[in-house]
Amino acid sequence: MTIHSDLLAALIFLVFGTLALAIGYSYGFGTLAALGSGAMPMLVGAGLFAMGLVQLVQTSAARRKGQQVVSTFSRRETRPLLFILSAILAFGLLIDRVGLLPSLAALVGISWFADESGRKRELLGVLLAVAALIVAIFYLGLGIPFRLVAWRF
Amino acid sequence: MDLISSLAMGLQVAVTPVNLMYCLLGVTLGTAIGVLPGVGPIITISLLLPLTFGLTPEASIIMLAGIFYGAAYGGSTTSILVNLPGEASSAVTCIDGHQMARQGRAGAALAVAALGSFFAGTVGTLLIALAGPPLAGIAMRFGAAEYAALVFVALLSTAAMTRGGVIKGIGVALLGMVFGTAGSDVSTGMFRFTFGIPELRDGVEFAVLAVGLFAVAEIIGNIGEPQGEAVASSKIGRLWPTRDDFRRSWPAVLRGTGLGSLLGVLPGAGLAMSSFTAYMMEKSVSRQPERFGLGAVEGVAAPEAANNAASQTAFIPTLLLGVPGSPTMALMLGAFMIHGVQPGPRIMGDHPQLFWGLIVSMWVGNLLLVVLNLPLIGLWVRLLRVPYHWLYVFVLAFACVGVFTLSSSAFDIYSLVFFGVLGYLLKAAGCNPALFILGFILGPMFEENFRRAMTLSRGDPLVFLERPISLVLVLIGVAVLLATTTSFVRRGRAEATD
Repeated sequence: MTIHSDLLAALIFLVFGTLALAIGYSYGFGTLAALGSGAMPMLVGAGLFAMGLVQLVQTSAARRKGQQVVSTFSRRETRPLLFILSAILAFGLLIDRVGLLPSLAALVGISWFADESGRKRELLGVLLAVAALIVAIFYLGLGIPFRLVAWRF
Repeated sequence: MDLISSLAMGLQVAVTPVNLMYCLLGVTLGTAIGVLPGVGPIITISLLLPLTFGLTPEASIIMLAGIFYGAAYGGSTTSILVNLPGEASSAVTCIDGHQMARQGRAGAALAVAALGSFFAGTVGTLLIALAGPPLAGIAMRFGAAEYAALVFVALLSTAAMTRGGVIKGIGVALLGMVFGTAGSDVSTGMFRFTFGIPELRDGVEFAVLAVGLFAVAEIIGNIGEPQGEAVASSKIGRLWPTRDDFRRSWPAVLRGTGLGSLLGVLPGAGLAMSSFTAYMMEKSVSRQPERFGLGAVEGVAAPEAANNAASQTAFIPTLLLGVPGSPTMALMLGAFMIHGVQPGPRIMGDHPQLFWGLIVSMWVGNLLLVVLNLPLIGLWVRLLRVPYHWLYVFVLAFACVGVFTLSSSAFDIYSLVFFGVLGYLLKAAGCNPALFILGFILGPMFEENFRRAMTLSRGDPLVFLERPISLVLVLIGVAVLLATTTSFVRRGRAEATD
């Protein structure tokens, strides 16, 4: 089954609507005169769930009429998605352990390959430029006390 | 007079060297960003939010506002010169502006755009100053029920007017509201949706959310996207418009300013709609509509004036009611709240320096733009040639380091990954992530007032229909919803019968 954009929207709404309803329920709805902590999550969650249902009905109606269904996930975006997210993740894992500069190197080094058109020769230049700009703006300019290089495992 | 003394106080705040410098920095950054394809004002404001933590509230708000209206200028420059709108709001300027450039009259087009925008900006600034005190007086009388109704209408009409359908619009705004409820409940102190993570007790960090949804998701979507070939067209030509240009443009500028000022205040209308409507109106009132599309100077003057006027008057509901009419304004509202300033009718009394300083600085900023933008055109054109695969690496590094400086916690970086994925999914689902931001900001405001109104009415939900102001607001919301859904149904039927 191909997931096209309308179906994906319906799924997102249904999943988060259910979560908000279920978790909100455990916080307690309260009474109408004294709404509890769970009232808002439950009301909003119910609305979200309803939107998901309507979207789902519309989608399946369109599908039954034999509308062409195109997957919303294009293969072209898989590569940027993986590389960009792992670059950020690597930065988060490293920043407390090895300091700013090595983490930046990892970030730039991984995210560079998200785009196929980047030549390897340029990578070093861009890395140096990024590191210089970031250090100038945040460390020197704003005076944020980063450890530029650290070694703590 | 009171207004004059207030404006004088604002001028004192706006022209202090520090604030003037941040204003200049804001408009320059804004213009540069308006020029760069794929990096819009929403991304820039969210990227720079973490940086403003160390500044005074005045300086940071002045800078962020400068980015907001500077971007509109930058967008028009590239529309005219290379037929590439940097912003959606300047797409319509391409039609006649670029034609003028191809006829060797780029200079005149740029000057008309800049002067028209400056005029519109001045009117918009004056309107805020004039509308401020009386509007705040009315808003002071708003109770919890009115506020809840107002937020409801703002959310509903914005969701309904956004492209992609009413269902998705409302759904994604509700999703934002769910995330807005995370953290400790103001009324009971109970922790909601924190899952035992201490960092979530104060709620989801707004700056992290914004950077993840916009910057990260946008980068993922833009990579590999074929980049428009930036070819600077011919010569810029002489900069000063001819007498004929002036004669034709000034009525267009006046009409555009009027229309833009009006549309800017309405929730959901926004800049793109105001410039587009102004163009259509100009074409229909013109005695020679056939000139449009072939380099009619009115086709540049009216939409540019309209979008600049709208970008000023959009501050009216944001500042005075605390209810932003557009996602970018929701971001500005978030910036205010980061600095402990709660926009609303009380802002003029509680933070007069900030309020009037911002208003005057917007006028100063518009002046700076006229003076700056025209001589720097060559530089902006060169900026267009920065390849995207250098740009995104820097934007990403800036985003990560900026987010990390918020609380020096790696948790914020992991949240960034989460919101990056969410933003990517929302885009893939055809949902506008900007509405998510609106729901996130307005959700807690709605909850607080809704619960208070219900308590005051002893649990009677009819309170929203019994109070006149709130009744009118609810009716407006329902009318907007009906209007959009019925036309939606009609369109759906028309497609089905085709």
